[in-house]
Amino acid sequence: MTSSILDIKAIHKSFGGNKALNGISLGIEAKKITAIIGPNGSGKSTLFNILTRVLKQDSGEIFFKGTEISKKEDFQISSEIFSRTFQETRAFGYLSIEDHIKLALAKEDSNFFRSLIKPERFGKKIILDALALVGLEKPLESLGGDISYGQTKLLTLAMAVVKSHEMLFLDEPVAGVAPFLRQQIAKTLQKLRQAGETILLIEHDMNFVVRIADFIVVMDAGEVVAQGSADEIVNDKEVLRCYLGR
Amino acid sequence: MNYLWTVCTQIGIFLILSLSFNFSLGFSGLINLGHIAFFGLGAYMASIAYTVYGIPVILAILFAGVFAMLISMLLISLCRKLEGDYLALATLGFHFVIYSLFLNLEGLTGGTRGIVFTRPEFIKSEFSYLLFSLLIVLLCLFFLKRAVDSPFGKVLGALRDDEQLLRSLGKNSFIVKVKAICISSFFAGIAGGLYAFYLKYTHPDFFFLAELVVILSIVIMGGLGSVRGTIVASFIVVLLPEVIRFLPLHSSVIGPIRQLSYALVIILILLFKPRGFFGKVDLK
Repeated sequence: MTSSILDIKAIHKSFGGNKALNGISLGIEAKKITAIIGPNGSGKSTLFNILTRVLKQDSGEIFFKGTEISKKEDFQISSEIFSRTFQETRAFGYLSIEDHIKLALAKEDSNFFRSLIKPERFGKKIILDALALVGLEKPLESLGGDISYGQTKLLTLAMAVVKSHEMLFLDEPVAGVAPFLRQQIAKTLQKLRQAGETILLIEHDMNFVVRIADFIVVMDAGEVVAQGSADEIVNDKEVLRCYLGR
Repeated sequence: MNYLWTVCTQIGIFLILSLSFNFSLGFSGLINLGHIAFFGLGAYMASIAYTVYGIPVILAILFAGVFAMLISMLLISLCRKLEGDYLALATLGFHFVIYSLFLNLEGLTGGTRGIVFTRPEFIKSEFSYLLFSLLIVLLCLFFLKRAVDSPFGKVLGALRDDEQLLRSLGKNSFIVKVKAICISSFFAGIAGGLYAFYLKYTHPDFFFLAELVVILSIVIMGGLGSVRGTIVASFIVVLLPEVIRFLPLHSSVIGPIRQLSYALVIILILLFKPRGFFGKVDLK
């Protein structure tokens, strides 16, 4: 690929004696949707967690726009560069949907005195727009712990989108989601791409990936075994062998 | 009437102490079992500042809060890698260390003799001290309520519910924890300062683990993450032993019955109303 925004160089990661990533090198292009696919245990989530600094690599480097980011903490990366969603549904169980979006929008809310004296304010419209973007229709006062699995996926997607970022990481955005919500999420992602978002996602649903991804990376046993456009990937013999089992 | 004023003052002090405990436990999800140590540190700081250095009462109480806050900052920095049960154990250990220091640093704390002093003229009577402490209690209540309703309060709620998700929003969860514990300890220190001037006597036994049971009863009864619940439960739990005091029982039985009543309150609430009277959060 050319004009990479994110460059991953020779990333190694082991858990005990098990090699999860074996020298992964990749370039992620700007303003495109790149999907990482692969069978269970292929190292996708490990790579994702290393890129977002939830995990630390054993060796290798990560560059964003030419600047090394491999030594930053996860919250620093999240604050400055990336937005992400998680594979499992996560929400703040006792906070309202409105609070979730405000937490994603706010930059100064960890500042105690600023928060008391001059808190950041966000109008209802910006919150409703964020929810409308992902198609989440629930009262703003609904608690994070009271909404369904699919709605939580939409809420975390809305949070990731409204939080300031340069790149969006989505970990299995449609896993376990009802078909009509999949359509909704696919539409949202296409809209975001048209708006110039750079998106990197992990997904098991091949149909979903082929439908929305501009570029697909296939991983197996901690290595990249193929990469290319959707057409190239679905006809790649190595991919059919390791991923589809043919 | 003096008896009534002292009971009212005690309710106010335990309200601030319990609300500051709920601030870390219910609002932020941080189990700080060393909270009574900060209460004690505040009491000793205020007593020493007033008796040894002649610092005015209001400043001595303020120093008590600041001192407790600084020590808590040190503690949470040392416990950086700990969370949940491990943090609870470490802070409980901290409590015993501080209690031991109260007992053994005789030159400073008076050891088992404690520190005895008299209040200045303007708060000498129980009623004037009630008014004085009421003013401080209302200020603390206003400040804590405002804090939990502010955007920072929502960050604390997010920390309690899912730290990893909070970090993914670019918030430094460790700094948030430090702030939560510092604020909580500051108010525990203020409550300690008020308590020292309330009793006019500071002794290690006032800051032993039994006090933790009292504030735990208040927080569990009122409900985690509820200011209103803590206020209501403070009245009930502080008044409960006062009611027992008037029962026609032998004096040797009254003490154990008081302790038993707290245990009973906790068990009944956990069995029949796990969220307490006004709790917003389940006990994990």
